[in-house]
Amino acid sequence: MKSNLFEIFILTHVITSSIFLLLAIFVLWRSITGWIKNLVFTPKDKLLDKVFLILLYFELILGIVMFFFIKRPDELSSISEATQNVSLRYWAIIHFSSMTFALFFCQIGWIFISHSKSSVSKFKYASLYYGMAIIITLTTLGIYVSGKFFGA
Amino acid sequence: MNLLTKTSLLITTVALTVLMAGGVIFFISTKEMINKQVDQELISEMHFVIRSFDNLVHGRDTVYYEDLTIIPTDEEITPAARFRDTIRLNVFDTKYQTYRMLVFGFRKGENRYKIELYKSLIDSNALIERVTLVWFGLSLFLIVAIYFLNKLIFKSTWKDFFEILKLAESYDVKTPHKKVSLKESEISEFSSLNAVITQLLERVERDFNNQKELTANTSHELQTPLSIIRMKAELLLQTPGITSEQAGLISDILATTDRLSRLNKSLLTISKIENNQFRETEKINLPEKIRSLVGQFNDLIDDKGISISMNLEDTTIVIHPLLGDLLLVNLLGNAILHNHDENGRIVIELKNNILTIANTGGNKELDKERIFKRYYRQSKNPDSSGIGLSIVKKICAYYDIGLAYRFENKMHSFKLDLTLVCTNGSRK
Repeated sequence: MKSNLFEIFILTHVITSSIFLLLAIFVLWRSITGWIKNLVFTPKDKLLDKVFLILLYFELILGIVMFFFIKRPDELSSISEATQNVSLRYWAIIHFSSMTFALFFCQIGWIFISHSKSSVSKFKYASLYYGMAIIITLTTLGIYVSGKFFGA
Repeated sequence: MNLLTKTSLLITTVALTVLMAGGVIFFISTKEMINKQVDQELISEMHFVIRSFDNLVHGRDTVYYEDLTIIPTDEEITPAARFRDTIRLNVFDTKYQTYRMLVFGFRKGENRYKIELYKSLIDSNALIERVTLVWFGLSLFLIVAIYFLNKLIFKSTWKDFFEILKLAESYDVKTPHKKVSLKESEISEFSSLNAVITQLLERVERDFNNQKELTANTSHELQTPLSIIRMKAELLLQTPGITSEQAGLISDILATTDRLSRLNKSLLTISKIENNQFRETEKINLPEKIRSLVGQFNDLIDDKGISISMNLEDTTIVIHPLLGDLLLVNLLGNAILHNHDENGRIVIELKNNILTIANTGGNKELDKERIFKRYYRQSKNPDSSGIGLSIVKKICAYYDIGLAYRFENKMHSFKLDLTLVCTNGSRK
């Protein structure tokens, strides 16, 4: 039962993370373009930013729940589970910590964007803060991928 | 966004970046240190095994302990120690666990052995995890603390600046006897700002008072020559043997003098309104006042054959009596002056605190942007000074009375929203 629930959480996390990543890339592209080309910050941009932030909060909640589902190292019953677990636990801590920082960056960025008067200013803050969050996200994903291929 | 919030958020951003970078370095170095510690322990155990080899083996070929394996081998094993991470079954709780393994070769006499030493990584991994989590929690706490402490410190440091700002915002040059006084600040930049603001406000006050005095004096001084001109013109008019042409010219001089005098008084009134010299107020029954003024204008109204219809709800307003008079006199006066010469109409309605004075006259809409400006006259009527509506606008602005002009059904309509001056209303 516990492992089924965990699988559901994992699946949800993977799906929402994928959506988040795609959205993140689009938001970043839009922000940088908007900043350089002096575009107008439309209500659609505001909505996208809001959805971006909400998804991140949702991921945080999922992550906290999942972290407590990950098995302790002395509960493993097969070699493959044990091999997987070492890298998974380390990566979970790195990923959780990093994504919390990413969330802080996004939240601060969102506050600046909400209070900025001009579109250029909004896009600039979005580029810097969301850009930072995206770099953090991609870095931790990179660590996970390299860990999977090259071992913990 | 206020100054404190922006500064705090920017400092928090810097703190986030530094703590994050620091965290990465901390995690990597902690992991390295702990792993090194494990390796050091394995090396110490290796030396122990080598020293106690005979006791450990006891004449057996192969030896298996929980954390040590000695296997005879024919292969050429290099004596150099090799470290590796591995997974092993823990025989006590039959669970697979991660271990750090040290493999080395050992020659005892003719025999060669491969020795494997194991150290469970559960504790060290758990230590790394906990240390990382503690550091992470501490970082979050620091970030939040930095944000709030920064706000607190900034608020305290910039206190003098906000006091200056508050004073500048609340300063009203028209309020009499309010002296500018700023506290001395221990921060030199704020002290300089203090001094500059104080000088600026004193200069503004001085200029304002000079301007006020100039306007009052000029207006007063103008009245005297105007009165003399009027007096002399009247005397001239009474001179025996004056021709009708001469009388006409003198009448023109008198009319122009009167107009100039009225203009002078109007300008003085506007100036007094701007200088907040009409602070007293009285309750005025509006329908009564309107009827009384209409009564005063009866001759003019009858002369021009204007029909007046009034629909006045009982309304009391709180206003300076002179300004109340001026407001109504100017609107009513304009309604009469600029009306048709025959069969004109004036409609006065007072309902739900809205006073509407509408009149016929002129088939074109007046220029909404310009009619309330000083000296603007759309009609060619010489009796019009072009300043009446300017006075109306000033009075309305003074008492926050909504003023609007509309041209509909061939009538010029002026609407006043008296809500804020009706009985409970007062000037802000």
